[in-house]
Amino acid sequence: MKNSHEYLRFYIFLVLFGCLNLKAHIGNSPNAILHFNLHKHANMQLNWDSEIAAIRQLRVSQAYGDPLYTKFAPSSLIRFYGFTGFAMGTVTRQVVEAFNIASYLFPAPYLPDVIDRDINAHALTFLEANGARLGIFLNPIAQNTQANIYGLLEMDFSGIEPETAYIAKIRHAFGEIIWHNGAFLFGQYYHPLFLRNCFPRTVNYNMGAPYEPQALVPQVRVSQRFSMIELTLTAAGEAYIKSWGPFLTQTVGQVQSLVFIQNAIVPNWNLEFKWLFENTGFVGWSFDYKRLVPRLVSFNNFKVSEHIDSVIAEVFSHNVFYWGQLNCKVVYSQNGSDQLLISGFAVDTVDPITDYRTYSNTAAFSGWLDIYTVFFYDLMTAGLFVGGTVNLGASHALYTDPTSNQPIVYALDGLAQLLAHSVRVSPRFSYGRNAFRFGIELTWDLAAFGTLDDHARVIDAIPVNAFSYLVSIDYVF
Amino acid sequence: MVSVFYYLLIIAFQAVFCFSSSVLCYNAIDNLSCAIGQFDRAQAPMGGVCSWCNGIPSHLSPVSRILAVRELRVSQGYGDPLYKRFYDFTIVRFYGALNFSFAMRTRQDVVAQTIGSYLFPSQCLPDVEGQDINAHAKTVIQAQLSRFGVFFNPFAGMTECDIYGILEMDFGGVSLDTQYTAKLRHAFGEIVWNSGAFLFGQYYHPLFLKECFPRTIDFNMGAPYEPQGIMPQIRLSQRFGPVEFAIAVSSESYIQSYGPLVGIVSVPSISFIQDAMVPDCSFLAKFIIDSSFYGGAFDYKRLVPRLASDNNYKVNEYLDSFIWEAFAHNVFSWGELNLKFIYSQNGSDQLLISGFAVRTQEPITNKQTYVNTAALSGWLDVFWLFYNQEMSLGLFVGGAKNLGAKNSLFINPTTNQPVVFAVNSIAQNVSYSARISPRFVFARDAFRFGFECSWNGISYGCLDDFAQVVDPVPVGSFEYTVALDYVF
Repeated sequence: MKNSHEYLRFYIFLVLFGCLNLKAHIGNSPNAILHFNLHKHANMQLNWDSEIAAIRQLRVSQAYGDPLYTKFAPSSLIRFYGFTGFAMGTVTRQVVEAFNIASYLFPAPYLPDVIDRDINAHALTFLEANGARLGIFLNPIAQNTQANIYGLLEMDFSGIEPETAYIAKIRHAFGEIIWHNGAFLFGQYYHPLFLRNCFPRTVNYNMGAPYEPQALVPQVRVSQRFSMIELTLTAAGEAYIKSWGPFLTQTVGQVQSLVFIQNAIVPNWNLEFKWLFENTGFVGWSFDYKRLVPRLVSFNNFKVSEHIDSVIAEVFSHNVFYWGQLNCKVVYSQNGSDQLLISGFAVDTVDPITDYRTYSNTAAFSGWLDIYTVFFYDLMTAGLFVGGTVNLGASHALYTDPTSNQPIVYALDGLAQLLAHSVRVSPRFSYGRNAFRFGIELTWDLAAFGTLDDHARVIDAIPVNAFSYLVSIDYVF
Repeated sequence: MVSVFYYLLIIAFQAVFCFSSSVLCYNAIDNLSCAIGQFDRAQAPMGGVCSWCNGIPSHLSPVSRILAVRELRVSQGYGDPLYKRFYDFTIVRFYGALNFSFAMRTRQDVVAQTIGSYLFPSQCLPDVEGQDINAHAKTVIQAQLSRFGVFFNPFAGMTECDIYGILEMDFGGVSLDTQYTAKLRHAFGEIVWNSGAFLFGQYYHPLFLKECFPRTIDFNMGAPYEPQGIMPQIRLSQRFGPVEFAIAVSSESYIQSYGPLVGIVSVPSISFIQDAMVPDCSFLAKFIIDSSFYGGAFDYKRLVPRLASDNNYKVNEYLDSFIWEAFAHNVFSWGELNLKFIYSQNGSDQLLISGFAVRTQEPITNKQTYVNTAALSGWLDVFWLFYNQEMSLGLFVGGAKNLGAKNSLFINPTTNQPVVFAVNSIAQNVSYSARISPRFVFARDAFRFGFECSWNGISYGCLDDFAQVVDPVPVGSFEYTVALDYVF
């Protein structure tokens, strides 16, 4: 880089130029054509009589001001990123969704009616556009300096629950100080268990959930590279993907809440190790520790001091080839509901007088492989995702609720504890040319739900299948 | 074989996205490089060069280690491997209005929270002494319906074929509990060519015409007389001489169909149309004369109200509905005159007063069949521009009539009424409703002032076994609205 003044001058020029043009045309009659000669060879102008929906939308969006609207200036300048678009799919069965990422997790379990017909064996078709993302990258010229700082803010519009669908939700909001061989990040970003290079590129927004950790969490993270090794240490909380646990006052059912990790006092810690290969990827592992405090008071109104410690460990491999990439990961998780994994925690013992409880983790193994090839002048990709998970239950016998004759287990969607195993295979194709993108993905899912034994292991599991297609068309900016 | 495969893929894309000319499609996407200032393939580690800003290099490297640059790619989800847009900035056009409105109504109202706006006066609600509780005025002062939009690639439309994107939000939320939160209104891309366009994303339903709608100062834009849906959709429009056709496949978003929850409880939900599997299909035809046009639109929708009955029997229930409309958009030297007539069945997802009802109920299984309730509505909106086009005078006149069902309906023994699902769970009791609202607007540069008076008359009653309203009690409401805006 020569120096940043060149860019500063350029930005100032553009801003001033835009303002002057804007000022020159204020007060023009509606039928005037406004000229904006920023581009040397194109006739840049927004035409009052344009038939395209967007220019009309400048007017229509003003509602009653449409007839008087004269502000057809084309300028504004910042580095936005994201996409707007449309997704359409059909799933041959009702589904279990993670509303906080507005996406499909696995097929819904067998649900018999009074004559034993499966109510959930009914397909659904969805059309949606609220997965659109808008991000703002502040100080985009930060990257080539020795040490610099930039910021990033990103949102989507899928909300965090069905009642807030179409509402803007913050995804990322962080600053990062970078130096020659390291970085310090502060704000909300992907949890370190999710690697920005090594993740499933599925057309579906689920990006491999519930096989791949998915959290976006507030965190401070320091990364430092030592030759071929990169170490990252992170302290984090939880955000809109929260741990599941007991209700405060209600003895049955479960809820996701930030309170469990906040009351633990100890933040979530993560240590990540990567061995980097020059231009061909990396391998490594990540270790995560979390403590939750499920309750401050028992259901019998005794103050209690309860907690549960959990760990998640993963190994990963990110392989870059001239034809594409092959990424894979294996995850062992305890109490991973805040990562959209199927493991949780269970009530271990209950004091009959005080209702003081101890807890034990339930664990799960999951793994996935994602491979894609880029071809046709880097305009097309064909890829395949294969993932699976198995519920390991608890390491010892648990307290059994006398009412339901089942252990009390807190897990994703209040349902994942009943999942014995699940598998997904999804091939995909995508085409991207400049701002236009098209993707199609076919998915086969299998999930087996059952009841729990006293070790929270699933027995008498009934497998269900779902096949789905997903078509996505986007404008990428 | 590989070449044949590539060729077939290209043909498929051209066939889908270039209705009139396969060559234009590629022109469109190529032209984008010029129009938006596409950088020359920023594939090198130090980035590329902006071709339109005289050699200013892009700093953003595809192999950057900083998280933000990586996030440009990761944010695309599956598009990450194909992402090449590593330039330092984007050219966008912000648009919208920062709004303040002050309204006073002489009666309590029924509000569509999804659009944060007034629908009609509340029904007569007697207390124990027979006094009408709802006969109480209210003042509404609000600013959360301000809108903010981002228009990506504002230079689109000047070339023969091009692509652009729009993302627009307001801050009215989707319910009382989510007021003041940003809500997605529009999020779409559109490929445009000489005589047509292909739109994908969330935008007005085709029943709402971007040129022909009521320019009321109230944000209701003519609801419940004018369809109001904003839907995820794909829409193909093509013009043949003076005739333009559009076909769209859509669903529902935050304005959702009303249907059953448990028993007779009526709720809006997107599940009804998702479980139907068949998307909403619309067809629109316009005959264009200069700047004016005349035409009609047809809409078909299927809902599946339930998967299981209240007695826990799996059921296979569905309902098909249609909406027809005819419209005229007349542009004169002095202003515009727009009008529309709508026949609707089950139009709650468009904030129309029609709905659907339980026709039969099987006593053992609780399995139900359904029938539409219908409504006729119409409106006329005229405005006149004067004083150097800085002022306008306008008038909106609209009305709706509930037609009920064409069949005799199941009568709920508890309420002795049919079970009807309609807007706000109250529109089924509306016999008719009418609105007259003159307005004045002054706009100079970014400043805008609007004043509107409205008179609303509505009649509520009980339902007979055809869901037709009997013994209606009319109520009236007068309202004025003052709006002040900064428009950008």
